[in-house]
Amino acid sequence: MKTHTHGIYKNLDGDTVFNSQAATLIFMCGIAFKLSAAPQMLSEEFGSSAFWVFLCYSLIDSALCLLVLLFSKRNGDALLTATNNALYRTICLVIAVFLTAKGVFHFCYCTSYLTHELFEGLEPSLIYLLFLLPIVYLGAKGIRSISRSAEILFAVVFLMLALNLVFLNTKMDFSRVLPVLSKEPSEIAVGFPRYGIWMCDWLPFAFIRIKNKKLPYITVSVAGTFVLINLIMLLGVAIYGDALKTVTDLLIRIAGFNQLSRDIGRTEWGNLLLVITTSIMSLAFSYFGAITACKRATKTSLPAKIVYPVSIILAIMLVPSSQIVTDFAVQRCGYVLFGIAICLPILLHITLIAERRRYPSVQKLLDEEYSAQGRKNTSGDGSMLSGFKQNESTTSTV
Amino acid sequence: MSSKKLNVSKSLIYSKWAVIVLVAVVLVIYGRTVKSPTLTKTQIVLGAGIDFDVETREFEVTTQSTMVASSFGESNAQTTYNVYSANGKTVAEALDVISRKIGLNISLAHCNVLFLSNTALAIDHMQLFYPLTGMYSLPEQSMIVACAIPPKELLAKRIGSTVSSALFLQNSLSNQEGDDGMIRTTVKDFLCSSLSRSHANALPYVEVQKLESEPQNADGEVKDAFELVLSRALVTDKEKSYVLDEDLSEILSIYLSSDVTGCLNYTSDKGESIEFKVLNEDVKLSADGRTVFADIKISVDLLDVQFVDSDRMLNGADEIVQTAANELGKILQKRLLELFEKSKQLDIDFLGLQTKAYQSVGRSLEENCLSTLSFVPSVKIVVSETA
Repeated sequence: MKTHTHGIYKNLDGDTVFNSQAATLIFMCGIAFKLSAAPQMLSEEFGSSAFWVFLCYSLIDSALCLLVLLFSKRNGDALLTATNNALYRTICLVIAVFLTAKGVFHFCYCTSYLTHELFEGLEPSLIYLLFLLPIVYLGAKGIRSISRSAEILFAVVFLMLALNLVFLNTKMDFSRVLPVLSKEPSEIAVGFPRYGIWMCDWLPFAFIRIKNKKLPYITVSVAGTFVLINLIMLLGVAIYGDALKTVTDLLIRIAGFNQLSRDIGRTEWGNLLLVITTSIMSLAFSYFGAITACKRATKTSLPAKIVYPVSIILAIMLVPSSQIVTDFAVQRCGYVLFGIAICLPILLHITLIAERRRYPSVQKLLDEEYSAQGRKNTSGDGSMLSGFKQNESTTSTV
Repeated sequence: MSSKKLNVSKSLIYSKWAVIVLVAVVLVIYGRTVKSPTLTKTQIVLGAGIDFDVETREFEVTTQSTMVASSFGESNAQTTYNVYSANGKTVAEALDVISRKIGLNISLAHCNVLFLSNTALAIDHMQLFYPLTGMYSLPEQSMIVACAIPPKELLAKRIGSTVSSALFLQNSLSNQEGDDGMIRTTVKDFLCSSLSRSHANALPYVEVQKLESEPQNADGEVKDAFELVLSRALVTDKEKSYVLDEDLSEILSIYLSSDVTGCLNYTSDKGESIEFKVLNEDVKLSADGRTVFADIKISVDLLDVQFVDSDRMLNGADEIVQTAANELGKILQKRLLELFEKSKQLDIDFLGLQTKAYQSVGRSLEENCLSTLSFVPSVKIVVSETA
């Protein structure tokens, strides 16, 4: 089937994005929350070991991301939905709850420091409303809107970040990452899993089909995001040392050490826009993930569509301070989130492998349907594939 | 052909115009109901000073802010520097009182100099700076200085060259427009050193002297002008502080600060005096267990030569100059050892040796172990025309 450049997006199924768009989403989700309060919390707990703990976290998270992307590449969602696998439905229910919980935690601590640290005198409820609206709108619109927005905004976000790093000018000492073990290894091991709130932000990719372009955008994005976030964390430790525990948002504060600031004034506003943009993208993405997971589990997406924003609103209204929510997320709840984040991608793969062995023919048909050659053979002709279609929207033609 | 039911919610959610209208409504509500301070209602503070009275346990905060005024049709603008002080149980309370005195909101967003008295330096540093850098937007690149007189008096002094003491210090420390080569400690560096294993800091120590000759302008002599002398450094941990002399402060600034400019002088026993201009310095600190090594390489250019027995113009390649550079390197090395002995004597680790040793030894290094550490400095001065 021929496609023209201007109509190329119309030929994609509802939950299909290009790998370039997925790559920008990986980047946005990768930097959204990990570089805000995480460095402060890690520095407070682990001292000079904060960078090494962060490195381990990002390694594990990147591995989980690759697992999820592999699941998507192997048409795992299509197969398990087509065969109506009960375990998969249960896992999706857990994913929906997991993403909703993460959404609440991320929203609360993002708006907490924006309200108290940056916007003095503003009514917090207005900040919450202004944040919630685009998140709910984008998340409900679907992955294609999220990924298109991410693709458009990526250039601005990346440029801001690059300019800040290139023009960074302050005293740094990279030996501040030593010693590697500032505490007993057993103490570090006990505290390590408390920060599961930042794991597995890329889980919604399990429900997305990715259409590849020529270049390996996703591989480059995963590797690049990994390098970038660890570089910024390294810079944070080199600049602040033990004072990193006073830095509530590293990504915004680091923009203040810009040699351009002598000429153009305070430059934190650039990274503030970056933080707001990536936070909204990431939360919208997790909202989409919760909706889709709920639909897989319960055949309807309505519960997640309502529960996700209502949970956020209830958390804001009932809890006196959003900082309490953040503190809760990094105490015992953090261990639960960490465990779930590790187990979910692994369970998805185990379920997929078992199902592929049970239904090899279905897998083969799905692979043919989604390949370029197989596309022209699929049609609404009442073939057995029509019963296995996962997307509600029909594929439009040029 | 079957007719499709109109899905209202789906139509609305995909309607771009509905979204644009919604955003416009929200922004209008936000704009009309929320009070946000405009720039004209904000007082820009150039410099701030914090003093602490131990007896009354109150902070005395002083701000120096600027107002630029001009009349319509005139090209000359007049700058006025206003100094306000207030007391409070917390720094925020004192700033609030100042805000009421001025009638404008206080913004420290462009405050590049912070003066701290000795008693203020004894306060918990995190609690002292956290509200300033958070709620009041004090830049973390602001310079911290210690002063011989209370910050309130210092900020009120008229400085001969720039009128405002805060502006003078901003020019020389932040903008590096002077050739003084003084230590520069930002808020970020201060907190970093304070919270490290060394728990100590070195700050420029500002002294005030009356100008010998008063400045002149078209209207006559300007009375009561002062000059700020920035040649010494104050070293402190929370419990005690000490003011170093000029020679030790000079080498300390090279040891601690990057891209320090300034001049170094060598005067031989015969009275030959050679002045070098510092072009660049490269300070490498490393630790091997409890021994800390400091390798300092300073690139200098020949600036001035006096009382040297020579019948021609000397340059950097001449043996006399090279010998002077070598001797100067030895003198600076000796001064570094003096600094180390001083730090042990005072028990103030302003050289940051405990932090360096901690990076090598690890968590088994005990606290307050300065007396158990060794320091091996090495200073090499290279005479060149470029850095």
